[in-house]
Amino acid sequence: MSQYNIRVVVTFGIMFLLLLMVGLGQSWSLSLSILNLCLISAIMALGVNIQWGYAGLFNVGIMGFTALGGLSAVLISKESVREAVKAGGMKMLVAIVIFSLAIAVSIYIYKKLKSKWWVIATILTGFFITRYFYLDAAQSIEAINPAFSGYLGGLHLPVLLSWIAGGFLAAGAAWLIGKISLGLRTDYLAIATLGISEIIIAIIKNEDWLSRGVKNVTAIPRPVPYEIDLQQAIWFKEMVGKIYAGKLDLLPVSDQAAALNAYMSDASIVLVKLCYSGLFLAVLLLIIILAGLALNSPWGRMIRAIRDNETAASAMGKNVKQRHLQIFVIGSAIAGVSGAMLVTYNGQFTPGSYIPLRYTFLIWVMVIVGGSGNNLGSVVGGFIIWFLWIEAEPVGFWLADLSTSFLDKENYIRQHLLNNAQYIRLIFMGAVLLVVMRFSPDGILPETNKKL
Amino acid sequence: MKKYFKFIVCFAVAINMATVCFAADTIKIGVLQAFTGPIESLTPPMASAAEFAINEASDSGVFLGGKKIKAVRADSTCIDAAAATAAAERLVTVEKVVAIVGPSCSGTSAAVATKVSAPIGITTISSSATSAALSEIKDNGYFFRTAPSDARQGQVLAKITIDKGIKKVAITYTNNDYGKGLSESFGKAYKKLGGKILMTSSHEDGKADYSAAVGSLSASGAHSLVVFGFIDQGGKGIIQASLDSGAFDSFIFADGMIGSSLTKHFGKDLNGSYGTMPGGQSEATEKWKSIAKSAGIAIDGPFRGSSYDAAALVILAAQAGNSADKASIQKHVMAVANAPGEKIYAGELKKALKILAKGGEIDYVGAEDVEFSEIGEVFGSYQEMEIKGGEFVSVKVH
Repeated sequence: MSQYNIRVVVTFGIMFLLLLMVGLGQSWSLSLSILNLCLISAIMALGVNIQWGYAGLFNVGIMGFTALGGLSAVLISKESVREAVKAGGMKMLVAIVIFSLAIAVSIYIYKKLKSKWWVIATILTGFFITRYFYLDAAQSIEAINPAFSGYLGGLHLPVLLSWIAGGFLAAGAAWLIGKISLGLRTDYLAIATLGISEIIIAIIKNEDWLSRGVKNVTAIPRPVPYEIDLQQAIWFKEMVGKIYAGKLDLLPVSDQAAALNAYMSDASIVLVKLCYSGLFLAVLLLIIILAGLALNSPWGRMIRAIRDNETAASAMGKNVKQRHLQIFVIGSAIAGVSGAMLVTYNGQFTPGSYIPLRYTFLIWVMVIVGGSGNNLGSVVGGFIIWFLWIEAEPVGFWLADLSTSFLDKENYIRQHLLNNAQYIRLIFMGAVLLVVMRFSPDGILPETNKKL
Repeated sequence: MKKYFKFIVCFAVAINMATVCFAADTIKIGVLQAFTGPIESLTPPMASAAEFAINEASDSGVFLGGKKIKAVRADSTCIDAAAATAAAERLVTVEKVVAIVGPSCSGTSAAVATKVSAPIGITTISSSATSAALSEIKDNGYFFRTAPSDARQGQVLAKITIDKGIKKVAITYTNNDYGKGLSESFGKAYKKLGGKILMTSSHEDGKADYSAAVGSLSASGAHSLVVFGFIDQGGKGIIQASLDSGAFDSFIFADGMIGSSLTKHFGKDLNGSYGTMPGGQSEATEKWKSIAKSAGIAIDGPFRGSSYDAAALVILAAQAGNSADKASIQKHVMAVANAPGEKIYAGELKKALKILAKGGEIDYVGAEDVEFSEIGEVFGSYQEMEIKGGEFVSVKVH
């Protein structure tokens, strides 16, 4: 085996071992929680890797695309609010149609008539007509029972569809953004995407009729059964009874029912999480296979050639702008899919929680630590960073406790360190990034086929 | 290869050491608050208040026949539902806590309640999640809160404002579920009582300058400004900008804005402004104030008393069922919180534990007048606070 292959086997072995250890030492439910989020993070990181690692596009607006994915989970899976649709649905539809019409007409005028003034006039008229319908519609929708609904609701379709829809929604937004800003180079593109992602969040936070805004949407339907339902299901009781038959028999008969209940509550949680893990793993594998095939195809070589020397690629007749747009759309779509998956897993959509630190820069750290340009690297990065993000807290407590154990219990320094142990999470992130950058500047799993 | 394994082994040992259990007759209660994130300045005193109640009961020597109780802290981050549920899971499955005090914010509360509390069956009492939407989540009866829903505070504040003869206001709220929920409930109640809202606008926390927002609010022609914000955040900036430009005569506050740091900063400029914060009968409040003072907990901010209450309720429920079993605690929370029984105030946990040990009944009043509704939420009574001579003075209880 080559050096690289050993590295892959060892890293994935370590990941598996760590999860096993959390499972055995802490609990299986925690271990699976970490695994599930690792899988989602890995998909997010893959989205960034496709943009940065393949094509060198510096997109720091991942947050916006994950939020759009999340929004699609709401729009697809929640039940529609009948009164709200009745009160303002029609008007909102009219507003949207007029808005799209105004844009289409102005594009037509721009292309055919080449008249600036007519374009401006069309846009302005369109804006005012839209505004007339829109304001009225938004107000009447938001007035319906604002504490509990106050929005249109969704289509009430299976939530799994939203993973695909989230991808398309993010792709659509990326296409628009790409059209506007991909002419910009590196750092300018970074600033543009950062700004645009904040705009997307601001829209989601403030358009209550669409997303309930900062009031959050909770109880998003699940693609897997509820734990409480499992605990009451007869087949589940029999199954758990059979699995733990050996252990239950050792107990006195009076304690058996209580013990079985405890086993069932643990088993239901683990089973639900396993179902999620299966779904997430399937999506991750699909994306990784497709991304790997694309990377090693002629198209992938072209993308990398553009990344490494745009001028040369352009001189060879490659349409650099088109390829950039393509890759921007694909990467963002993957971020959208992962965003929808995350909201599905959390069971709620909380626009206020989208902050760049968590949804843009943490993902970037995953890509950089894992190794940009390498798909497996993104998976490793997603895993390691999320694992530390969760486990840093107990380790932080332990470190604070150990390093000050010689001090008196009431000592100020000891108290202060123990009370602030949570912050070690952020210190850990920085430390890991620095250590990896120092000892393996290309990431844990570097790009393999760098040379064309 | 070898060096990797060394690192991993060290890490593994670290994780497992961190979870070493305590002596068997120590019972643990999780304190799951947002120690990092946007409300990190609010949570340490809340956790201290909860831990103070835990120590009080632990030191009393009468809890379940002399058992000790220990608080275990975990971080709910306020914004990251996945991290919060993982922390809650760790508390329950690794630390084996018998109940959780927290989480802090409404979003993470909904996630923890539906993904951890309900399926595992662990009593979770939040002391600061105020979103009205939490009344309708699928919690299987395991989620309680000692902080009243925003819906109620808005109504109380609207009534006070009308009673004072103020018929026109402008509203600014911090753009999150807290601010928005309050502004909606206040607006609805105020309009019903005949008031007129000239403008409602949101502000984002953490900005350097709020003069533009204040400018448009004052252009609406209102003389009083309702501020639903946070004292360390945008709320303070709004007040600063308003005073600088002399835009408003008086301010109306909700609990997030009431605290000595506001009056310390602006002093007599705010005379005549008023607001509401959760707080019970004056007797309960007085007792809590003196207890908190002796424990070194600053009580000039929200949710400290309610955190004390949340921890106390868990402990008393365990004593009432004479077992630190998760299910038994959930069954008895309602009984100890509501009448009938002897009224218990803050600092009287020992007395309460003794009564319960003898099989008696108690009605926990605590720091903030706890009385649970059918779905495990406090109805909430509010103190009307007015600024007189540059300080907040309690005027009345609503």
